[in-house]
Amino acid sequence: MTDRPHLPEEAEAVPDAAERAELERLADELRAACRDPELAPDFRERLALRLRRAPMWRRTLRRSVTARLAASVLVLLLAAGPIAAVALFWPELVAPRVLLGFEPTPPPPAPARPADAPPPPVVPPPDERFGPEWETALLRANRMARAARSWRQAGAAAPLPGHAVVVADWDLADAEALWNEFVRRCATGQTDAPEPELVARVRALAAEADPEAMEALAPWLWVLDGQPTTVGPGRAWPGAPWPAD
Amino acid sequence: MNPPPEPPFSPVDSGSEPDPIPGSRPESPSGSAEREDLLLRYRAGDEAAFEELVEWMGPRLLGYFLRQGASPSVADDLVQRVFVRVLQNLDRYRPQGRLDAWLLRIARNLWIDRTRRKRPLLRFDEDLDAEDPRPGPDAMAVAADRAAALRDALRRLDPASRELLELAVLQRLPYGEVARLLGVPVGTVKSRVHYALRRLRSLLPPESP
Repeated sequence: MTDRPHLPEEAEAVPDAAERAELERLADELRAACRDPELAPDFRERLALRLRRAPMWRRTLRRSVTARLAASVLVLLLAAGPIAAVALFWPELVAPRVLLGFEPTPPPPAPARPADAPPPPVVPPPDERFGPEWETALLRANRMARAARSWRQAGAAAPLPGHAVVVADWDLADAEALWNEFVRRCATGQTDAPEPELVARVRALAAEADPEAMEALAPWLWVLDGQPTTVGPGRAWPGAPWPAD
Repeated sequence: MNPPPEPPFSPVDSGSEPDPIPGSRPESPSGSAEREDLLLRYRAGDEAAFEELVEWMGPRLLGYFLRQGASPSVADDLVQRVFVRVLQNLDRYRPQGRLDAWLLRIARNLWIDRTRRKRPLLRFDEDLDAEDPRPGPDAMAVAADRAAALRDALRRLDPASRELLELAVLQRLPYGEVARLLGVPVGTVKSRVHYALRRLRSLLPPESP
């Protein structure tokens, strides 16, 4: 009734007193003629039954957090069935097809070198890298390893390194200091080939041919040359390899 | 025509003079204030308040539906649905207006829903009223009975006028409540009430001297 029907002009006319009285009487008559009927005798019982059956969901949900939670779970459970069915018959929805493949990636760009950067190290060719120097160093390292092993096998019979004298310059070391250095290296497992400065000092002392010094230098001469000393068996411990060599 | 929603009732002029309808006798004010608090009392746990509400508004709602054209069984069912909906919307009720207007709004929405879904069992022909304003044979047969003639004339009115007389005259709602319920200005309600009463008068058989 929101639309306004077109009313005749007389409908808009305000009734005068006489007509107003007549309309008032008519309204009274209408009201008297249209008295409200009585409800059915069992109306209240049926209404009570209906109210008990009627779900008051809105009121319950508004008041109870538990009811809201239960309703949410119920909705999820109800929705889980159809969703699972759709997923079962349409597996691509859940597990899309996986295509195995290889996608090559371009190599990363080379980093830009600054102009003042040092030149990269030059790696010598294999013939130079594994030449006579490399072979000599390898043989000396192997002999140092054999000497260290014999020292460990000699047990209590092996000599302990003497009081260590810090040698700042191998040119100042005498034969006794070199002997102590040899025992120390065997005891600590330092089996690298002796460094050039040490080798030069051993050669220099050996050139003096002092018999007592040669006794102490015997293990070093064996490590350097692999030959037994010619001046005697040299200083050694039981099982040392240089007298036998 | 979509039924308007049922907001917390807050009439425009709820405090205005009650029912200045031509010929109306204002409803007895005794007990009216208490009736406005019926739902508040029920919400507070007073079960008897709802019984009182049913006793007060049940017959009025039943008469409303019957006069709108519902069959007795349908009218009975609709009245029950009104009360069910009242309780379902109990939390939304705000005691800011007339309680009977709120219930009549619910009833009107239910009736609109029903007539939109299904034609009423007793249907009135609007064209008949438009073409032939004279009483029909049935009305002529009962012309001697003034009350029956009035009821017959009311049935023969167009639905809009019939609903207007129902709300303003029979249910005694103030013009402001009727205007708010129907969605029209108050002045329009007044003029339409006059027009509906004149139409009703024209449909009545001449009174015997």
